[in-house]
Amino acid sequence: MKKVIFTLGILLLTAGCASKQPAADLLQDATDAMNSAGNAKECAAETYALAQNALKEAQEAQAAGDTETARSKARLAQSLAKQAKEEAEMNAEDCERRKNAVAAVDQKLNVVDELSGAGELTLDDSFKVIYFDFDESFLSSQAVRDLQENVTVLKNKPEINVILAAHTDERGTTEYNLALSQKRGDAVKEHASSMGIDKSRMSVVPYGKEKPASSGTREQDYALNRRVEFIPR
Amino acid sequence: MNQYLTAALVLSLTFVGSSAFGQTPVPVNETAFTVQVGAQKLALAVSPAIGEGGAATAEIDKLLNHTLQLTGLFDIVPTGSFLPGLTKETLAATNYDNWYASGASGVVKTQAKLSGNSLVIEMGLFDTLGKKRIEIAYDPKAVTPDNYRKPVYAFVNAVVQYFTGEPGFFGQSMLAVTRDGKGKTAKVVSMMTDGSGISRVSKSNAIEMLPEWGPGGSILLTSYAKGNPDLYVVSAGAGHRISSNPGMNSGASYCAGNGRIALTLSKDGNAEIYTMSSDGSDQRRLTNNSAIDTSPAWSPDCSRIAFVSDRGGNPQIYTMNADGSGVTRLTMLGNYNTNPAWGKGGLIAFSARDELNGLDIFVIRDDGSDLTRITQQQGKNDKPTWSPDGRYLAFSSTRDGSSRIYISTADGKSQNAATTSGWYENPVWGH
Repeated sequence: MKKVIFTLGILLLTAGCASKQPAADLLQDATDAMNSAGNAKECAAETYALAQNALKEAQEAQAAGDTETARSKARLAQSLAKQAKEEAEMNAEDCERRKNAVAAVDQKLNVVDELSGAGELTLDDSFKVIYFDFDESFLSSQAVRDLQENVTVLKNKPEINVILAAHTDERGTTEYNLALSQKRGDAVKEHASSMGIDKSRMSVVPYGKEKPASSGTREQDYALNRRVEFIPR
Repeated sequence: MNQYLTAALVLSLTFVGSSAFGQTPVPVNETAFTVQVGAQKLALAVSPAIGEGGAATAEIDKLLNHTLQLTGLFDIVPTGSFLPGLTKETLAATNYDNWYASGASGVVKTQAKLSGNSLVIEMGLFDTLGKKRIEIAYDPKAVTPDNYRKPVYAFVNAVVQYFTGEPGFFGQSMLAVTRDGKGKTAKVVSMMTDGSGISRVSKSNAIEMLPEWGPGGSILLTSYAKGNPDLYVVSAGAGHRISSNPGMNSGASYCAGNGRIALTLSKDGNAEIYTMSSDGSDQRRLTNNSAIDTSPAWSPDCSRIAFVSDRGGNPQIYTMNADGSGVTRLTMLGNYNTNPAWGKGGLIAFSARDELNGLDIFVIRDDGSDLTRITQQQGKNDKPTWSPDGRYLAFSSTRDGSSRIYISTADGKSQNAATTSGWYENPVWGH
């Protein structure tokens, strides 16, 4: 943009000489240049904004009776508008491609934001939490005994369906832990099914390491976090 | 000095995995005004901006130092080492001897001019031993003062281009996950590669994870907004659910070349890898076994997919063709290798867990050769992502206590924090 600075320099010089083109004419020229800047507003946004700003300042100066400032600002606006138009033409291909890509995605989407709600669940004391060994998804003998109790509750309350909220400890990485928690939830679901609970009454929601029951980093904290919770829904 | 020769020389050392410039002879009689990523950094002084830049001046200085540091090419000479008087210099006159005596092989000088609402930032790069101003491809454009970042990015990118033949990465965006602290609810944000301009991508209170760039600058992410980990595409501030099978709909990897999203679904019993169209239709299953298969990552040409499977007893990195055929195990060492990211030049970065439950970043060639360690015993280093040009890696690291986004040269030799406060993890560089 050496050109701009050069132009600016010339403008400041000429403004000083106060060539006597009426400010109103210059304002009209600047407005015309803005109007003919094509898609500069989108494709050369920054320069266009500077031009807009200069035009506004020119109009304000004119209204305040400061014709000298009005003249120089109007010339600046006109020059910036031309520059914006050139920039927009240079960027045109890129700019159009971007606009089209965004439009294509928007078109496919509902305008409604479906990303609302917190998806929070509440624990229920009538069910036991099923705990797991490190990195494992099989049920220990203790886990099977606890699960048997939950199955009894479910048998006594046939109207209740449950979410099996499945978790890991914080060691390891996000998505592998998500998959590991899914596997733990699935293991509980299969066992409960073999104990006589219809699979349609249980849905697994894997959380991975995202919702620790205990935030500590001791082995006993980790043990509390490797779990599947029964949550009535 | 011959700038082009130097650029070619440095290029050969910069591109891990590129052999195109591997045989460039080292020119003799070169001055010291070169950099070799990782091996030889240039001692660069960044003189505080002079002129009337208004409130932006101090910010310009901060940003210049931060971005030049992040390039991994320079050792920044502390301002306190400058000989007296140097910081008053304009771009027009340079006391090369005193700069050199201050320990600087190069100097960056800045002059800011603010008139009305129009800020012009002139910047120059000087070779103190060669005693000359270096011609770089930077044109100072007028900006509004709150847009001061743009010209600084342009300048630093041009400096990187001068030394390496390819521009720097500033002005590009990243996605990441933020938390109020360890174990707190995860939210997806976008930011610039220098860690500035951080903003949420949705207004949801639900857990959000595993973001990815989708078509046309849209953002793919997994959210629990409706209770289940479903996949959403966020565009123009609104989220739209595109995959909501029971269980996992997660870890989207989008390949612009074929317009398809690879992701993990667990609807058929356990975590399996599928591909689908960018609107969620046409879901095709690629893996089929009782083991965990997850974390797909497209190769840059969309022909293959790297992924994680524990079919061998513990999680390892595998690759397969885009239709699920040709499965090959890539990693043979360690027992917990996850989160592959496939970069330009045939390199796959991943996170490995050791016996002490630390996490470290490694890079391996897509044929299983050249295993390289990037981090070692510096807290948890996780979720690598490649710069589009394949010359840099970003990942999260807890080496300073809190989780930060680090940017590293691809060889791991220069690593710098992009975010300097807060808790950020899971960076995803724009494609």
